[in-house]
Amino acid sequence: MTVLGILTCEVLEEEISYLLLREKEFIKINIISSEHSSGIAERLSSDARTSVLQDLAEFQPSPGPGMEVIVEVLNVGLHMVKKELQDGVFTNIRKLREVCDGLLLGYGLCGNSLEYLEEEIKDVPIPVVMPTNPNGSRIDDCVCMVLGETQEYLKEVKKEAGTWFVTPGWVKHWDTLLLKELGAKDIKTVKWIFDKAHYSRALKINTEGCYDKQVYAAGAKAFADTFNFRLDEREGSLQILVAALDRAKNLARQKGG
Amino acid sequence: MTLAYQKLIDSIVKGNEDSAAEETQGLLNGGAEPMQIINGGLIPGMAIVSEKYEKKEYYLPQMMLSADAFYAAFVLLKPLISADQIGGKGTIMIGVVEGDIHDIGKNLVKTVLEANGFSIIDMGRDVPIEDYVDKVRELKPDILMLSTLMTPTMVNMQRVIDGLKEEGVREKVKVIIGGGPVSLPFAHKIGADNYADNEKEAVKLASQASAARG
Repeated sequence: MTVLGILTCEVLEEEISYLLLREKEFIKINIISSEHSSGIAERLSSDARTSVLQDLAEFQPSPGPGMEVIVEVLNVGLHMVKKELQDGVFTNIRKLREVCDGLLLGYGLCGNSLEYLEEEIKDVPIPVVMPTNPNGSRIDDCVCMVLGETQEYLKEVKKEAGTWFVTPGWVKHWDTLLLKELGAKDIKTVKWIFDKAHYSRALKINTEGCYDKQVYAAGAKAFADTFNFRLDEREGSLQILVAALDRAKNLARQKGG
Repeated sequence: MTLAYQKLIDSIVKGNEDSAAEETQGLLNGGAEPMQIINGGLIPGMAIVSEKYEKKEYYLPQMMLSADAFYAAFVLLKPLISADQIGGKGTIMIGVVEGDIHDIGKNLVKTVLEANGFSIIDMGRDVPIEDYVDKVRELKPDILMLSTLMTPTMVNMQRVIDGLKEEGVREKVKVIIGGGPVSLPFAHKIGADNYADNEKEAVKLASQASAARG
């Protein structure tokens, strides 16, 4: 049995859930239980392949050939302190390597926190795949990831630099993220900062993720209204994540035999 | 240190604009020299704020309030400072690169540099690459400082430097870059002269460059 690990930020829970549901090659989907993985566990609860484990020690590979997956979800907002993101990602890569043949990261460079990923985990003997742009460069972050590539981000900020990008994960976590990221005591303080920061537009990115589209639309509107941003929307793509998952599967298969 | 200077420092640390302006005016009325007020009140106050930010005792809102208080005091002093004092250390052009509007850090660096005796050309935010190239050629600053907070727009720092090279003016200006995702290895990679992690470092590097010019 080949075991693929997925270590992801909670902000990508909708996108990762979508990929797991459509990926029929996995004979079993193991989710490590935590408050951060509850969203993915809920999305996958109706899929008979899903199993929620209390911790990684509980994992026993299924007998026979094929591939199964272990999903570990870390909390949103780790990128706000580079060291926190690095510690979270590197520590969990080392835990998962014990049982996995390969790993997919649901992370980009994240403010360059993971710029030196290869050097940091050079002792890890399994392939670790980070999503990349179509040209092979590592993707910047979750926004560029669902826009389809970094060039799309640059096109949007060329049109309007004061753009705040909205994804399903952002809609779910924005109040927590903003208060923590900015160190603001309340939304009024965030508004005061945003006024000085010259944002004018919220851009909702639509992909084929498994989110409830009405809830997503209402959440995006509530965010835009809170800060008096104009709300635009555009199509995104999960192709970067799809390609990264394919790459991780192939490498894990080669490693696992 | 007199009580008045301590009050000015406290006003900046607490981010109280009105009080910072009042204390500064009080010191001026008492006969203090503007540069003395900057060096004895404004800069020590902002140094405490930076330290608190580094230790995570302060976050962005407190930093912004303190920068506002700093500026409220500085605008009272600036017209009273002689030209050789205010721009005596050289001219710095500063801006946020194209595609990025995050100028809170840039504005803080600008204000602290100005208070430290540099003349500033503020290019603003989301500045097209060709504007930097044109203005460097036209205004001949000693240093160009470029900032970005986002990794995708870091490429525009490279493009500015490439533009300066193409126009044959790269060797006439020091380029110092800064911003959250930027690093010294990246500065070297794109052909910048240096990297500053915060406003204190920016002042240090600019002062070193100034001293080297003589």
